[in-house]
Amino acid sequence: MAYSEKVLDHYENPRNVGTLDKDDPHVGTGMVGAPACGDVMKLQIKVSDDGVIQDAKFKTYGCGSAIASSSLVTEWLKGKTLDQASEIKNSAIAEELSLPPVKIHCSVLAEDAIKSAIADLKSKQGK
Amino acid sequence: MTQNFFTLLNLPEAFVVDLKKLDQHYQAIQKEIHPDRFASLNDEAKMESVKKTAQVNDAYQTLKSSVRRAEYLLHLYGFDINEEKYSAVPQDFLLQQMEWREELEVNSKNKEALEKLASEVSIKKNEKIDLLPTFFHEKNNLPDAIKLTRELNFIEKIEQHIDDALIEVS
Repeated sequence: MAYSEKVLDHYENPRNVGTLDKDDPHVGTGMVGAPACGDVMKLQIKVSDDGVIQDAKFKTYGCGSAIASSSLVTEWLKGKTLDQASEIKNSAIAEELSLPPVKIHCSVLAEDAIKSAIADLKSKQGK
Repeated sequence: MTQNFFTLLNLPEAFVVDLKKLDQHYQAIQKEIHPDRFASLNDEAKMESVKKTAQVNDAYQTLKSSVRRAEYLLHLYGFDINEEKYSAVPQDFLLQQMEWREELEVNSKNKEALEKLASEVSIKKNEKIDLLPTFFHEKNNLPDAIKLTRELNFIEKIEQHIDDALIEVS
C-alpha cells in the first residue's frame, strides 16, 4: 500500500518526538494502544495556567500512518486551548493525511490519545 | 460458508485443546483432501479440494496458537477484540509496552540485551496464557479473557519485532 506524501513527510521527519516530564503538574500524558496491530502511542501536552497548550510531544511505536497521525496532532495542538484541542476529530486527521480506510484506526488512536492526555491533566489538576 | 474450525478438525469447542489430537486430525484430514488425490477429477472437484485445504490449514494455524485460538473463540461467542474503544487497554500495561519498545530500540544491535528482553517478554506472555483456561472454562470470565487476549496481541507484536532484531544481529 502506498502512503500519501504527507504521511511520508511526517514519517521521515516526525515533528515533536520526545518526552515531557510526566510528573510536572502542567503536563498531561495520554497513552493509547490498538490491539489489532499492537501499536502504542504516547502523547503529552504542556499547558499554561490559562489553559493554552504550549508544547506537545509524542512517541509512537507503530506503522507509518500511526506515526504521521500523532506527529500531525502535536503540530495542531500547540497554541490551542484544551477545549479546542478536545474538538480535534479523527476525520480531520484522516483527511489531512489522506489515510485509506484500513488506516483510519490510526487517526482514531491519535484522537483518543488527545482525549486521554487532557483527561490525565484534568485529573491531575483536580478539575 | 466457513465451517467452525473446531468442527472442521473434529475437536470439542473449548479453549483447552489436545495439541496431539489437533496434529493427528489435521494430518488425517490433509491426506484425505489433498489436491493431488483429485488430479484425475474435473476442475470443480479440484477447486473444491484446494479451497478445503486452505480452510483446514487456516483452522489448524488458528487452533494451534493459544492467542489465535482465544481470539477465535471470542469471535464465536460474538466478541471482536479489536472493536472496543482503544483506550480500554489498561494504562500500566501500555506503559510496560512502551518501556519494552524503548528497550528494543536502544538495544536493537545488542544480542545479549535482546535475548534478555525476549525472555522477559516470553515469561509475561506465558503468565497471561496460563490464566486463559480458567477464564474460558464454562465462559466463566469472558471480560477478562477479552482483556487478556488483547494484551497478548500487543505482546506477540513486540515478540515479532524482537525476533526480527535478533535475526539481524545473529
